[in-house]
Amino acid sequence: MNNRRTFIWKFGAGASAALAATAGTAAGLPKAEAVTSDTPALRASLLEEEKALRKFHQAFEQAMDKGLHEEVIGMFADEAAEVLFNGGVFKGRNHGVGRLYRDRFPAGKTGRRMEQAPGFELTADQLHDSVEVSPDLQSAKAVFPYSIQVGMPFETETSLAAMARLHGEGVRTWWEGGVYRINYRKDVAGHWKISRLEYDTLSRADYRSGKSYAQPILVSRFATRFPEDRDGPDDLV
Amino acid sequence: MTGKGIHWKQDTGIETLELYVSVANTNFVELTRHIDDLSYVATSDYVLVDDRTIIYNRTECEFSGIHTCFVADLYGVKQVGVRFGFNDKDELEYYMFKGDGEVVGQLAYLENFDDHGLRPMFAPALAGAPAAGGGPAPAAPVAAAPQKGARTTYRPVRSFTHMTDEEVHQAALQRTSAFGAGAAQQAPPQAVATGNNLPFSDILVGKEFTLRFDNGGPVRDYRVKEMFKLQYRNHGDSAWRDADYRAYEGDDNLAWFSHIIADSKPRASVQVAVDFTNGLATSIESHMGTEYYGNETTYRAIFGVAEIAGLEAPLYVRHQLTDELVGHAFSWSYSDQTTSMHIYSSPHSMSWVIFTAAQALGAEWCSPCIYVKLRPGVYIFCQNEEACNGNQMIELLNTKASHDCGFTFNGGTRGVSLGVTGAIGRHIGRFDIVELYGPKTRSA
Repeated sequence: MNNRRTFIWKFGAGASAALAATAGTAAGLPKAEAVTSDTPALRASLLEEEKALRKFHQAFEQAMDKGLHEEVIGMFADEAAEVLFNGGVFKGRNHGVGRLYRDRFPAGKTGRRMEQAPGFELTADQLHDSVEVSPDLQSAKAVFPYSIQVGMPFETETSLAAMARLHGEGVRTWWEGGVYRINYRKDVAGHWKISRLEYDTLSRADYRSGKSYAQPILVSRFATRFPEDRDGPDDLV
Repeated sequence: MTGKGIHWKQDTGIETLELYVSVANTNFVELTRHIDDLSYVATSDYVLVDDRTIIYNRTECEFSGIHTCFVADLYGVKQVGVRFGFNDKDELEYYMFKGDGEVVGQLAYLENFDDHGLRPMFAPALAGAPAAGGGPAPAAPVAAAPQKGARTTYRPVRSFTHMTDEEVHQAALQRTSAFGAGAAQQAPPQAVATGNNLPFSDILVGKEFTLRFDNGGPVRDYRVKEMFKLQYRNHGDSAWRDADYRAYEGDDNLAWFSHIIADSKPRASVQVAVDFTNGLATSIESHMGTEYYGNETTYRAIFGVAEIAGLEAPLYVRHQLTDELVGHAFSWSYSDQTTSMHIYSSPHSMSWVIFTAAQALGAEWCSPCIYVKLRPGVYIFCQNEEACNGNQMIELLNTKASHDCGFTFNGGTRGVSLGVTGAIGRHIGRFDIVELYGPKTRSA
């Protein structure tokens, strides 16, 4: 058991819930205290932080779902933060990350939660989430599944698109499922922030809520960087 | 009120046909004020007071801004209202009126049954629209908080850039594109999406024929050896010209194809229907430029015959302009995410309406158009979105198959482009209005 507890602790969702019930009031450790991974106080603190991170992620998903993109941007660490999405890297909370969540995602109606496309559902393994908190309680890694709507505005000057935009539409949408791979770290005030977020897309389909079927869809990865593409990524991967 | 059409006769002698086919617009025809039987679109409010009483207003904001407002009793089909504003002759109109109406039809109500019209349409987005061609995209088209009294209205002239004939031709010299640079079965990029188009056909492959159009019209020889490339020449010329083309079989043994006229100034294209069962042929002769804009298109239909071995074409019978589609409404789904409803509102004009997310009929605009009858149930429909974006759509409508297929032709700063388009249709209903149109005596 100890060989698994060297640097980072891992907690599955089920285990964390059970342990969280016994964690009681542990809320962090004095830095001076010499601890090992077996220290009950550390275990309790790790569980508390994991719980906080799950709540934090819940808030992230809710903000995305409601289109509260400024709140989302505020959850990122700082200018070192980055987001990997569809083959592009968006860097910096106030630059690339802001561009992604303030401009590209709203324009494409991207990020809203939706049910998984029939026939394209993620497997049980893919739906498994995990949170890993470092023993110093200052950083963490997590994996959470997602099932969201993604879209792209029609790139056309036709009257149909112009008129659809008047309705707040003119966007081609589809479904994507995958996992968020997230790195967190605490800011100077001790609040968790996202330092890196990757949308690891595992499945996508031409599907919208209410449809009875879904079909495979091909989506081009980013090929143009900012500023040539005004909403584009800072780098390509 | 959505989907209803009423022919109103006011006590002033004014007659209008009003088709309430959008929750935020009216498609209307001034049957007495104007001479051309053209339908127009203006922003409208519909306020249901109770099951029989409605308050209506219409502001012709893209035109003179004149305002028409009335209360209507739908049981008696009567109206009382006011007209206020400057008309198309810059004369002040300010008077009260009463009127009697006749319901001329009702299109299908497409919203969910539990949708009671309580949610207004979004106000116009303040942010810009994405640029075409994959270039930098402006800010997101997010609906902003509407200003007090703001209405959703499509005002296309405001966003239409004027180009001269010469400017368009210089752009055409830089780039004249037919069918997305030769991509085989793929739709060109200028179409929003053409996933529901009919497949291209090899109906012309192996054929040689001459199209001879009436009244001294062009006579063109064709020989076709491949599915996407043909040769043509003006009859009598020795040299053949090569052209990319696309063809559909719009009905049994009915070819429908298009190509650019090489080296033309202004840039021109033809959309041609050839009926290989009877030898009849129609060509929509299209070119860039109108008297108003170089970046609008002009078209005309010419009729004639195909001369081909083994087929004797008629001497007198021809395809002809028709009003058989007038009053009908079809939704056309170009792809799963792009649907427009066409209202064939007069013999010379139509309007199109975009659905909202709730399947209500929303933004709407209109244009002149023509209809040609090829066979029973098979027509050519041709329109230019004039004073809008200048784009031309030339479709073969097969009402038996509820499908259309055809071409787009347009030009601007990025050159001139000939593309393909097509959609699955649904018949949404019909207004009984044909009798309202035609030449009339006029008092002054």
